[in-house]
Amino acid sequence: MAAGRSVRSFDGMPNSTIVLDRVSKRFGAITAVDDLTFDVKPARVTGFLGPNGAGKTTTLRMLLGLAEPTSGTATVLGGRYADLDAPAAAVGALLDANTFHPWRSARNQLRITAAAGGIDSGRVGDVLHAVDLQDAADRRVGGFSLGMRQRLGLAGALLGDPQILILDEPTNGLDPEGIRWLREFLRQFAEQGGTVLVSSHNLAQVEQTVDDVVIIAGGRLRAQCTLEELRARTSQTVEVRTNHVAELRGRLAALQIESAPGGADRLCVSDASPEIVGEVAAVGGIPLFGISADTADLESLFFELTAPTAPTARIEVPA
Amino acid sequence: MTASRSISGVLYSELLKARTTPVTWGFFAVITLLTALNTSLSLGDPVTQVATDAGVRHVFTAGRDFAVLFIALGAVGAAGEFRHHTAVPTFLTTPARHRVLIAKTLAYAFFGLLIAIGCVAVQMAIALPWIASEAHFVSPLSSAVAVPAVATVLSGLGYAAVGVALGTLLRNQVVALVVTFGWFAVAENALAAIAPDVSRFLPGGLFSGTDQTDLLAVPLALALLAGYAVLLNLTAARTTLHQDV
Repeated sequence: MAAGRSVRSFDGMPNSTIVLDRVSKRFGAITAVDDLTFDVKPARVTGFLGPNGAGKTTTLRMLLGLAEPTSGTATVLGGRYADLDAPAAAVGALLDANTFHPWRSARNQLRITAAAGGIDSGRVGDVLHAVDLQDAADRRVGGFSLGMRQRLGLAGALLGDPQILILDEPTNGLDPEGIRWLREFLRQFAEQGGTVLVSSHNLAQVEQTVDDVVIIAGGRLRAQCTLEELRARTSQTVEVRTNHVAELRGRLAALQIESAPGGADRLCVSDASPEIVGEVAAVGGIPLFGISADTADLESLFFELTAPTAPTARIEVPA
Repeated sequence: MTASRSISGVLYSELLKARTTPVTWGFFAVITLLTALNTSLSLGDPVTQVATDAGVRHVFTAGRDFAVLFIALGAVGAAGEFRHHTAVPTFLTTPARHRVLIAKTLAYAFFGLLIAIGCVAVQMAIALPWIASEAHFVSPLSSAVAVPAVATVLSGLGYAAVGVALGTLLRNQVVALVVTFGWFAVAENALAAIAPDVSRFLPGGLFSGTDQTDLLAVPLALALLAGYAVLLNLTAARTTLHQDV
């Protein structure tokens, strides 16, 4: 918790592991991050979202002590990152896939980090295996693909067996299998009580992974909420195929759910989940030939929130 | 984690970095080869009187003409952290940046020492048999050999430490090299021309031509070099070391 200012966590408990309190960063006349306040709690995967140039990387750099905030405080586990006793055991960070000397082998890159962090060198082999780089361990990193360098960066982040993972656009360059592995890994990490803060410019890319979202644009906070709450703010449309359009429409209307025919055998239902529509049909014995939810609205809301002209508004969980 | 344990881990990490960087071994090869060449040229120079102590000292100071390369070694190593962005994982693992600077300075001083020992070994391997072939026996422990050899070894250590400070201050390998070579090739020569008495106190003039009588005594020159290294490292620690990466 930042000194002098209470930042409520999602469940109302002051247990946030990462807290940014009115953090700003200016580069000359340019304000990269503007009065940014948010918190991240453990056992959750938090998506840190915003378009390119929104200030995500600058924010993460300030959080990790690589850049000094012009004003405000950024704390990890209750203190400044620079004051952590064993940073590698507290936080694993991946900020850039190009932070390796091209002539060094993957194994040596990690041995260097392990030595500086007071980590048993035996962990090097473990993490290389975890990210599936064991066969390339003794190859020069200069010959690695972007995806391989990203995996090596993840290996470096995991080296100290940290409580917190901070990852900046970690799916860049990963193949679909790698992305799926990362999703599962992050979910598992959070389920075991770890904190995950993962940045992305693409909501769809992290939608299946995150529990909470922090959305910024132009260096300012636009929203902080759970993914479910963000979804709830969208006007979701469910399209149903049935040969009983009128009957289903009538049953939905009785529940004050709006719908409109989309063709002879189609019905477009607003503000209802596919589960509810399916249940209403099942209760009425109405056969459904197809049902789909238009998830583009979540993306639309993201664009709406991050548009340059959008007002700065914070979505918060009711206390 | 205690401070001593922490610094020893960072030191090992920095030694590992320097050892696994090809440029370190490139400098090793270039400096020892140039030293071998310069030693051979000195021996072959008809002006060199190897029968005298002054002549032997002249031969064994030949390697010190490459002091600038020891600075370049440290500067390239330190600035390379910013070129390859390895400063990011370095400062993430060791947020106390002054520890990184101390460890890097010690690591490159060690490699400077190692390279300088290599240079002295090469000089001895070339010069002692050469001098002996001219019917003059010179002991490696004689002051004409040992004093310049010790000075070469310790100055290699000191110049590499100066280089680390320069690389950290400038954070750019090309700029660090231009400044280093520019200082040695232009600035010091210009200063020496304007104020000849000052030359022997400048980094490049501390050891060059130890056989000349107007140079500082080796212990004093080494102490002054250590002073330059400490001063520049402190300046780096208080300025650019804490800039954003």
